[in-house]
Amino acid sequence: MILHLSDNSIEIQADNIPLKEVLEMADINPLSVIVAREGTVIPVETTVYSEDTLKVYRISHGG
Amino acid sequence: MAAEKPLLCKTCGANAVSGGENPLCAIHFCEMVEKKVRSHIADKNLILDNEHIVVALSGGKDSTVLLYILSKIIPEFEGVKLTAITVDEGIPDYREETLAYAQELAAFLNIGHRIVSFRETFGEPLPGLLEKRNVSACTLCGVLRRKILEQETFSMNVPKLATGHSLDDEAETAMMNILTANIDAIINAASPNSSKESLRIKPLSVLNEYEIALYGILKGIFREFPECPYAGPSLRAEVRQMFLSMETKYPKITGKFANNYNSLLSSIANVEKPSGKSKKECNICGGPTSGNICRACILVGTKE
Repeated sequence: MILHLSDNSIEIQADNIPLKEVLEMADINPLSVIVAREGTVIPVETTVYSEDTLKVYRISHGG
Repeated sequence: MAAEKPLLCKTCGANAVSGGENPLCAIHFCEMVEKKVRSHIADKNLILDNEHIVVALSGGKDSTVLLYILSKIIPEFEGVKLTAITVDEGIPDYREETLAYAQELAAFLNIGHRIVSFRETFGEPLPGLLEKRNVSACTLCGVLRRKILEQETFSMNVPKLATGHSLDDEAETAMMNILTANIDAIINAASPNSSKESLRIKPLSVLNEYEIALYGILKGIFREFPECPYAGPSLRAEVRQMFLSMETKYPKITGKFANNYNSLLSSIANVEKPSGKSKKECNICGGPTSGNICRACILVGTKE
């Protein structure tokens, strides 16, 4: 699956696992991001699949 | 393969956007956020009828959500007026985008908006001010931004300045004050304002960064901006990482710490500071300070 971040994209080889685990595989703290699939925000407990494309919003601080 | 069983909203059964112990759909998540802010404003009397409130609007996510939520809440009060103020530090390739977005948002919400720059107030933008001054960019920028917001609010005779500080910001500041044994700052935060200060209100200080960001995304007002070119290693960044790591093992510990710290503050208001310094007026600008000259005047006046 593809993870689109604001400045780059990461490909993760995984299928049928919770989003939380995918983020950890990508070395991203699940508490520091919000993820959307097909334009809809999904909780980290959601099962994601190899064909998914995920948009990852980093929770910036300040402002 | 078994079909995915999505997490459902505990209120209405629709697909949830938030997880953990509090699965909520987009509608009920936003309602929960607004309810928290409304309750905080009511409990602490943060907004009263017929007040004029200045909102510090950087264009980043916290101040964007703050202005958006306040614009929804103030019609519930009699005669409350909001004015947004954005400080333009003049940081190239960074400030332009957030400044444009702040203007767009204020216009969209039909809220009066002023932009005040470092150049017009201190003679130069941040990069110029940093030259020949032995101080970090974040320290100088933070002190001067606060100075402008304070001055503008006071000069407009506005009694309250609303900032977008989150629960995480409050916890970080508390931990930094403890780690650096900054007893004066701790007592300062607990003490009443001087006559030269507007009252600062933090309507979002009951929300964590995640709740603020998710609300912003769901309302379509969240924008991804480049990181400030001056952002780098700092005690605040280290403390933030520490809380983030602890949250994984001990959920909600950041909020509990911030709330316990605030309870502590309420019990030490008016305690004498170890330094013996009390709030008085700066000899140069007349603004509030604990010494003879305020930090902003010291920094702007000091060149190596």
